[in-house]
Amino acid sequence: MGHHCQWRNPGLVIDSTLDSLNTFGLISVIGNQLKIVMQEKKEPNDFETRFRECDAKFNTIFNLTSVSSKIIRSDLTILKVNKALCELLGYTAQEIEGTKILDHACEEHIPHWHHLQEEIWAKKVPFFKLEACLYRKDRSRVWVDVTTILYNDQGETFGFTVLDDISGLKKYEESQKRLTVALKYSDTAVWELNLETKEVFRSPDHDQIFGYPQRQASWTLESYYSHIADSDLSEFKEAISRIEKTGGLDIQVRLIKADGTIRWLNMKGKTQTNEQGKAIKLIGVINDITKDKIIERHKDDFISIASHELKTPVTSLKASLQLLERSPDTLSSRNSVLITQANKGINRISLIIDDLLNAGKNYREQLEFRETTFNLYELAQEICEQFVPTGTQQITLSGEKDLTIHADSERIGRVMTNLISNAIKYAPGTAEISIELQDGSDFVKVSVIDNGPGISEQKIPLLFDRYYQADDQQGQYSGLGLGLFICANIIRKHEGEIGVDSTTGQGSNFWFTLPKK
Amino acid sequence: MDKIVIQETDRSVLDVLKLTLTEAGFEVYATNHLSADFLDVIAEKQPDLVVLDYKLSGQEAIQVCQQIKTRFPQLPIIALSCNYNIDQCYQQHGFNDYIRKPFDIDLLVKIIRKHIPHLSTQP
Repeated sequence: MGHHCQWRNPGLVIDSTLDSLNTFGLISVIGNQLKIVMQEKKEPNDFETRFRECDAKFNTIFNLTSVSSKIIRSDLTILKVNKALCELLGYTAQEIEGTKILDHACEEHIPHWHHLQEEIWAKKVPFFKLEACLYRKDRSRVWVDVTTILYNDQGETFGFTVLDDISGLKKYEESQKRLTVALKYSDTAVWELNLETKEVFRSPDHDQIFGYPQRQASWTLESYYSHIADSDLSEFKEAISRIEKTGGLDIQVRLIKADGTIRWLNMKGKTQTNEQGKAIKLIGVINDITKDKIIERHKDDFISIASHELKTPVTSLKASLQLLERSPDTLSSRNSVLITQANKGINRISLIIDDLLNAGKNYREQLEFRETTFNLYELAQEICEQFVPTGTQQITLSGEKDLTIHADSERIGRVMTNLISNAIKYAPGTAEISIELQDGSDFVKVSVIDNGPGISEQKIPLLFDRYYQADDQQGQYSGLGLGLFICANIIRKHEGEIGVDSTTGQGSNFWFTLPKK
Repeated sequence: MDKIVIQETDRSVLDVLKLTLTEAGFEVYATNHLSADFLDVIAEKQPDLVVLDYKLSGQEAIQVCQQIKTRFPQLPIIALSCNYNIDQCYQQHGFNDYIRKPFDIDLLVKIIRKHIPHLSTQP
């Protein structure tokens, strides 16, 4: 009968037959089972040599294996560590040997680990296993799966410990846990619809969204049908039937929960195809959007009320002014000018109210245009005249006097007014603000040029953002910061461009272009 | 003379509406609320057109519009509204047209004229 020394490890199997060894040694790690069996044998032939060979082989294996291992004695002092453990913890062997493993354990794991050590050394259990966290030399943490067994060697008991690095697994578990919590608190579920079998694989809290405290045994496409309100069901079925064509789904439906309450759901997903390009499944998320729907309704209510409260007095004022303007009685030229000015003012207020209320919506979609063909120079002249010249500032206008354009004159006027107001506001020292109209082949260009402090390069990209206000740390400039944002929307909706050329200390040129139609 | 029944909640808006449309040559019956007998008023006045104040969500105006349409299917009804999206919803509620507030008085008259089938020859 031969003597056998075997170390088994995934990817590494070493087998040695020791015929004349008086100790039969078997150490094997298969899965989580680790066994070492030492057995006496009665043939003393070249025992010393064989023993040394076996010992050397064991040491080689111990050092080469990728599984972190250590050998301890009864006072728990580490006698020997392998290379894998040194690499795992970032120490040299000399730094670890002589210490105790609990010196490296994270505080929260020490009591339990210590208790298990006491039990195994008191021979109450044959081995112990635990998951614990160790500190590396750099104080970072590493999760390990620990297995310790005891074995006898020449009458002395030693502990053999394998420490499997499970940080990756732990990270995955934690990531899963985070995902589950995030999904739960955002009222979101993940769903995967098999387009062939119509079965649905789903995240743990999926069924709770549909009002089931306990997870249902199975879920199919049909299961959704009974939960979607009749008014939305045909649209949902239609969207599902078109999945292959559209490549996905994004639909808002009313959900009837198991207890009968009604919620709003947003069901989204993208199809995944097989190698032949056929859509085989839909993967996506289901969100409870009831809160969003309520907020949306409140916002609509607010806009509706604000609109009513602001526009009603403007309505009577505007109509009264128009009626006054058409008075059958002869108006003095003074009163006539005043009424004209008041009319212009009320028109501007009406537009501002619209713009403010629409700013809460998708502005570009909501902006309604009233396009006419008009003389751009005359409009610019009219706008310039609205600004009262000061002793130090002058507004000049240059360009083709018969330049006509097809656009919304009220709004183009607003853009010009805004750019000129900005020049006055932000370039107070500038002596001249010049408005230049250029007639290009496809576009006309309007420039408002000042000699003010200019704008730094970093701020230029932010200028056309909603609510951005340049250099207002002291709050010296009033306004909502909507000016350039609204201008940009007006110009883009006209399919034109808006921009600024500016250098710090050398003034700014705010310009926009409009296509000739 | 073409007759118009106008319901507008705000008294000052109602006054200018009445003045504008009277000066434009319409006979105007103006009221600031939708009374329980509003349909009877319409039956009695036999207007060529009705203007209703589509206030806030327009629930009241929509309800009355539908009642009028049931009883007087041919009578044009115009929604007068502050809502920015009135253009998207007036038809589905049965209105023939809409006028946005604040309105231009020329546009107001133009829209009303569009729905009165024949121009009155009377002064």
